[in-house]
Amino acid sequence: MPTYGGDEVNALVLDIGSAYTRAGFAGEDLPKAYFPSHIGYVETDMEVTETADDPSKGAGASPAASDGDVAMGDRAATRKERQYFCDTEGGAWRAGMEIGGPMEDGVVKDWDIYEKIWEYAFKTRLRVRAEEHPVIVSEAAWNTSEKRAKLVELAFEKFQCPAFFVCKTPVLAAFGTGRHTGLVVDIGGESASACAVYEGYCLTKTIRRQALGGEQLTAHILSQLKAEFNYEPTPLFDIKSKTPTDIQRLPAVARRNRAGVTDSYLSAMRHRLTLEFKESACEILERPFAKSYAESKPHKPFEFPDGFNASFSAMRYALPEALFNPKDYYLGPGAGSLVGVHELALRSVVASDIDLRPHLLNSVVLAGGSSLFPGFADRMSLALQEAIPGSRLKLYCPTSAIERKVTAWLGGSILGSLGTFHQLWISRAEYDEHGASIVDKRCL
Amino acid sequence: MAHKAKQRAPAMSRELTSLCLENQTVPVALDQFQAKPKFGTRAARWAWRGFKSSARADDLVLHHWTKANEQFTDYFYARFNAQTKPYAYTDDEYGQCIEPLGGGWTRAETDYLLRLCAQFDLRFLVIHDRYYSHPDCPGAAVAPDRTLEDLKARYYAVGRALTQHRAGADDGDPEDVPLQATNKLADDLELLRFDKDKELERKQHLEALFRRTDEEIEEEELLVAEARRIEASERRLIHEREALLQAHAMFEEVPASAIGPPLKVQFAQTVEPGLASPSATPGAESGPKARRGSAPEGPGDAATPRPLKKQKSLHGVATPQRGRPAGSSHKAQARASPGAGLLGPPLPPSALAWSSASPGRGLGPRSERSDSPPQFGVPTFSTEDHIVKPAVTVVDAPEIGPITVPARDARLGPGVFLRSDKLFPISKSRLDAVNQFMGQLSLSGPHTIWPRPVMVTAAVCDRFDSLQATILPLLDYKKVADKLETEIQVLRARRRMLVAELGAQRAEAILDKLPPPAPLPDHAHDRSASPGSGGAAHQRKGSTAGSRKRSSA
Repeated sequence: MPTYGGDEVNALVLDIGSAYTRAGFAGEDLPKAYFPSHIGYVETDMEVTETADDPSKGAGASPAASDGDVAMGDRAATRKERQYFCDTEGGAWRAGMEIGGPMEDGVVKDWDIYEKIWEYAFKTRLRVRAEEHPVIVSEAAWNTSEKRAKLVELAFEKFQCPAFFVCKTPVLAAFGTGRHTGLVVDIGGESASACAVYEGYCLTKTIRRQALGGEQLTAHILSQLKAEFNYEPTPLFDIKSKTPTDIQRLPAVARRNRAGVTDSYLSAMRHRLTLEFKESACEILERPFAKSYAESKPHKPFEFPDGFNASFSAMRYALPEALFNPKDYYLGPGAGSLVGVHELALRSVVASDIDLRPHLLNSVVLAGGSSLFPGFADRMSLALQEAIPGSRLKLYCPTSAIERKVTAWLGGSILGSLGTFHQLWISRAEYDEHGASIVDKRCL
Repeated sequence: MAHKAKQRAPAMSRELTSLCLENQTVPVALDQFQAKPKFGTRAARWAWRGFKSSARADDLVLHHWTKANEQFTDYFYARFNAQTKPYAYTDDEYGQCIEPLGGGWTRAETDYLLRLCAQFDLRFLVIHDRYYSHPDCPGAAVAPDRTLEDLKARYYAVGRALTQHRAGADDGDPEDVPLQATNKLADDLELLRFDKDKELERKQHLEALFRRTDEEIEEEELLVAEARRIEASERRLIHEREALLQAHAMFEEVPASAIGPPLKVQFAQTVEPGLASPSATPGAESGPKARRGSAPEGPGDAATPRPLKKQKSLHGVATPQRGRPAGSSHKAQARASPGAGLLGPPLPPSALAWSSASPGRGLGPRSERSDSPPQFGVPTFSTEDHIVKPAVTVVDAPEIGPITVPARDARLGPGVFLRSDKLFPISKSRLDAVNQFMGQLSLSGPHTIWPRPVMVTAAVCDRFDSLQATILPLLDYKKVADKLETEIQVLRARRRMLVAELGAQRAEAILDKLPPPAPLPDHAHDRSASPGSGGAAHQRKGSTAGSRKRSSA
């Protein structure tokens, strides 16, 4: 039985990121489910109307949702019921449907959506009963004690888990690449962070983060497209028909012009659309962006779903340059206070003890979907090496794109299938005895 | 056809099939029926079982698959639950040995620190990281701004104090533990040693290293490379020098001075200043012709020790005989054909070097070339630089007055040489003896293989050469003298024995009958003239005397 220190107890691993959620069984090499964390919801007065085509209702719902719970409280007279649509259902158009994510700044903001994602992952995707399986979830390194307590409550009270554990994302990402010590640079959906992990412990004093992740980059790309070509991508749900156009001409699209399209839905769909452009056209130069050099690189033609097409040369390098040089290339809010991701990593290293620094620099772990730009790892390596010329530097990142997207989940999968880990679970009995505060003592 | 062959194949051997078919078809791999493997054992049964782990405080039951026949008393991985035991102290102990440590630590904070040490298994980086954010943090009891070193220092101080206290060695300073007492206590205390200041200093240095800029690193690397280069070239230089000296040592075995005096004839007016050779000086005084005339007398009459056996190893032309020496014949050829360049047959390289044994040696054969370029660039003799060629001509035009060229300058041929080569080398076999002798004279030179003067001016070198030239024959004499001494001892002993056998009176009578022994001065002269031959002769004499005695007995 004792082979390779593993012992599987059919634990579930759930890694809910701000952009994507990964769920699966511990001990497997990839998550069974991978779906967007942004889910759609329609607010109705008790009765459920999936294809309600009432423009007045949809229009009324959208400001309420954007304001959050306060707006809902205004209409306390008629109790609001939310109906949720996850994954592909959430992507399909519904009148008055909002789209929202559970996270803000890495920590859980909307507990309803968060809970819905658990439910969807377990019931619909994994098809398991949560009360039969121990559950590991990931959390941001800067998660607060209150949020963790609430998380434990959710696991034990709502889902009746027999055992539960919560582990910090950087630690899991490090485990996912097979290391227990290292500098984890995680460029996630909504934030970029760097953090030192020492023997499986996340060093809180070394956490450096900023709100510049994949979502912000997508927004930046959209604004740049608008500025450069006066073009705004038409989301798929709005395209009725299209005719081919010349290069760099605005698309000739017949729109559906549906009523009840909420702002959040439209923006989410636009982002999802731009994702394809971001993933297939954008690259990062191996050295700081220079227009003349970038133009000498091969051009890349790209056609959006609505027929707009262009050949991108320097632009496709300039866009993701925002990650490394936000001051000059990022036009979003708060650009002045942002720094490059390499600078983020560097600050994290400098914040750690001098004895630890060589170990950190010797195992820099890249995680997060936004680190998947071609050339990102090379550039990171170069930028760090230039900043710290005297140190040995080694980057660890899974070579396959899929693994890079699920690095933290992989770490959870490894952790949850270790024989020696099973003594760390917070059991139901312990929760009953100590209350939610046990999570702070156990999950460090 | 192929199909047929395929059908026929199982009945026949492969060889036979191929013969019959005469290789008309290619061999066909046959599908052979694979019987389903039968295993003697049944598949092991696996069961989905719950388990409890002793590593857990509660009795959580988790489930996993195990082999049905396996029974574990405890969870397999519970054995890996290693835990760090923190120091624990009673109130008494705290008051007695920890409280006096001071440093602004309260009991509550110390307790808290030790609890963290246990929880994080002494990972001080993590302890320091969570020190103020840990849920157990006693809040106000914890002093602000504890550094990592503070925590470490406190932990180790507590550890030392407790260890010492429990060992009952309260009174002694831990530093006073005697070296030989390698007891457990000393080891333990040594392990718990933590010097905060040193640690901070170390980290400062590391920090400085970490913050080096690219230029600084480059400069440092350059410096290191340069240092390495200098070291390497120094080593190489020493090595080359050794090699050169070694190369010269190769020629050392070439003997002595068999052609010494004749060479002086070539340099007609050569005077060896300061060379304390009795044979050289008189020759120099006389004119060239006279010298040439005196040359034949050289080997025989010179007071120089000249072992006969060595003469054999001389190159052929230079075989010294009591007659015309080889050198002069060379010179004669040179005069006959001045443009010829080489004066005689090419000489073996060994001829280039000349034994140092004799002060009477002179110019190497290659220097005899009439057209050899002037190679004596030593400033001391700068006025005589050009003289070597004229020196040859001097013989023809004797009206030119005597000109002196130091023998050691004339000795070297053209080409590159070390100036130290100008000193006459001594043979390797005698090196130790000469060194020892010089040591006895408390002449310390630089540490080279060959003895060298410290201040190499011409005068010093002359003196040095003459010293060496004196030492070498002296050593020869000493050797011979030692040998004779022992022989005499042996003979005396023998004589005593014989006399004892015969009786004193009879022996006296026999001895009286003997002819009187040869006069002693002759003996001494003989010996000093040529230690080798003289010694041998003496030995012969001694032995004949012995045999005579014996026969007479």
